[in-house]
Amino acid sequence: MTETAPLLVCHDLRKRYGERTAVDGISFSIAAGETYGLLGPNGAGKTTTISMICGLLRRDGGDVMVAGRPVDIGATEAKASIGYVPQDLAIYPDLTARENLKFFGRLQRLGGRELDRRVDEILALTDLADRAKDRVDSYSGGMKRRLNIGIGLLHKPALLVLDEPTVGVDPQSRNAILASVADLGREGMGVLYTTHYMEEAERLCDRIGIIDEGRIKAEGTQRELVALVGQKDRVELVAGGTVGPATAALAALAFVEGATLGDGMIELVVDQARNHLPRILETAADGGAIVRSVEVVEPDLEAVFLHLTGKALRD
Amino acid sequence: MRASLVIAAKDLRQKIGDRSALFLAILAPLGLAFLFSTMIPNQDGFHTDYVVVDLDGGPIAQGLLAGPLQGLADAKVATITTADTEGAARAQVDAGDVDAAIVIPAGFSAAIQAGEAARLLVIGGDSTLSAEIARSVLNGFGSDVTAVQVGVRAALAATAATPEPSLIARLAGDALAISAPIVVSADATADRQASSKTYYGASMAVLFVFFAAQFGVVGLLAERRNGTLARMLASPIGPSTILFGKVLVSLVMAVVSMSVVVIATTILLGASWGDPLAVAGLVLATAIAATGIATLVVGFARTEEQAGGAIAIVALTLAVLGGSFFPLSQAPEGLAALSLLTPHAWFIRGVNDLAGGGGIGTVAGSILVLLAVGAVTGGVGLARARRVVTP
Repeated sequence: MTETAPLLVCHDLRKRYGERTAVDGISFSIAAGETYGLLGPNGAGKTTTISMICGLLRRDGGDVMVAGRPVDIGATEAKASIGYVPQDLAIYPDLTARENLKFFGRLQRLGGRELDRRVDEILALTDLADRAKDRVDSYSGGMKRRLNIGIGLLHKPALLVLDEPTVGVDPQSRNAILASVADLGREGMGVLYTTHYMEEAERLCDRIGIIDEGRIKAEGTQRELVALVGQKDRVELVAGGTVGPATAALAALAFVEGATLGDGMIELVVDQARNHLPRILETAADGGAIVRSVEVVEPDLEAVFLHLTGKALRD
Repeated sequence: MRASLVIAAKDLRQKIGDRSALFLAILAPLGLAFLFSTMIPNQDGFHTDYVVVDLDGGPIAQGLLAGPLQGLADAKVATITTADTEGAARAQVDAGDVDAAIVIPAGFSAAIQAGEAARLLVIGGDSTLSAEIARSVLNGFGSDVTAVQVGVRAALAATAATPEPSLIARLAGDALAISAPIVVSADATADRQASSKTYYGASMAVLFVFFAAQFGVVGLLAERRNGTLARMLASPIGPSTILFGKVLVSLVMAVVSMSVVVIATTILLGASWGDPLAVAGLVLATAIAATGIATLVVGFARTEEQAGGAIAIVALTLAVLGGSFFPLSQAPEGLAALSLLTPHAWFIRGVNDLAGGGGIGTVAGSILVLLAVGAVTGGVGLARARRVVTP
């Protein structure tokens, strides 16, 4: 594998269940160190796609390559490069955290001191070291979630596949999970992250594939996706002083596509607003406005999804 | 192979903490074997005590004592003692010291030699079975004597000789001494019977081995429901590795369950299983058959509850047909023939065969049939169960 070769390549993946098409020609790739999000509502085909990528499900068509090796149900070498974190908890409640980690570590061909060392590292990473000898059925939901993710990291996979890991998780644990995934991406691990939470995709993913009805409708960075549908940023200035003249001055700027004043707030429609913030603030001050706060609201993926599919993400 | 052992070791570790597994695999068969063998009367052997009063002392009376009655003593079916008078014998019967008395009246031999009717007296006690056996033995002796009388009369009629009492006595004595020309020996399978303690140990072991064998392969369905099967499959192992690990657990549970019953009934109940190597072969072959059938059921089930219920029905049906609840020697002919379709019958047949002595060669037939059952059902079951692992 060369440095430029993608870590994961999916080409024309297809899967049918009887008359229903679950995945209909999905193609995408992930580079090493890249976090790729599959964003779509429930039933869009995210889990089916992941199952085929991880070699859990026979596909009706298409190819999957991980780290240069083809993936299939019996493809043990390719699977060794994948860390899989399923949506539902996949741990043994009647075993301890250490026993769970050791079992799955052994299946990942770890053994001896290396296994012990990795188990200790994961217990520390997931903040479960103090409870390592307790049965998992005595854990809180958040602790179980952390263990569920930790198992996927045991063998330091090149590609980490997370299937909606924050579903049903409390906000505190959710933030911790998202922070951990972001760290892994920064450390060079390729991450495939499925979610139907727009905020998670926006926060974590370098690139996003919008998936619906078994197809990827659009793909790119958040900004590319937003640009795709022609959405602009919104700048909200909360200001005092002579806001009327200031609003007029701002509306005269070439890059401002719209300016409105209402209830002590000037609202502007601007493309690439963050690039123009200094000029906007300078013009507002010159116009006599005393700016108390400024917020840039970028078009979100919810709008993109709505534009592409005609329905909301949570439909 | 290493991954299969890892999976099996994890499952067995879980089973050690699973009380239902320990109950069904070990405690239930052991408990029921104890219960049956202590509650149901011992049918291993019959023994009775007779007292004989010989008031005749003639040659025919001596023939009765030295022949059929001594035969009972030699076969250890009866203990024969003697008394001088009918009154003394009757007193022993009334006191319960003996089960029955046989009185040979004075003139018994002479009456027979003269071709006249002769009588024997059986005095029964509380055990009507003992008196019935005594009557049966004496009736048999009477038939022999009648045959001799007919022969002697025919011989004398042919020679038209005048019957001399000494000649008649000599001919009668010689005739009674002749061994029966036809001896029927029985060696039917049903006639080779393990002791009741061994039988109930065997029947409970083979009944519950199916419940023990389910714990590995049914675990496939539980792992699929829990999502851990997908996680295992995402590891660098193939579906066959997972299947083999689960089958291995079933096999170990089945062997352990049966072995505990065999060892415990031997030590605690005094069951006599026979040659250890042959018993080990039977146990292993039966465990393989039970594992195969459990795998077959799992291959067609959707949930572990469905599989557990189906295995219970299959196990109990096969147990009824296969003689786990009553010896097949007491079953109607049709059921006995049908039983040959069950692993239970072949295991119990093997245990019964070992009761008559012999080693692994004695039970080779049973072992081969059990292995064939395991291979066929297990083969089909594994093909089906693979679809559980890889939908």
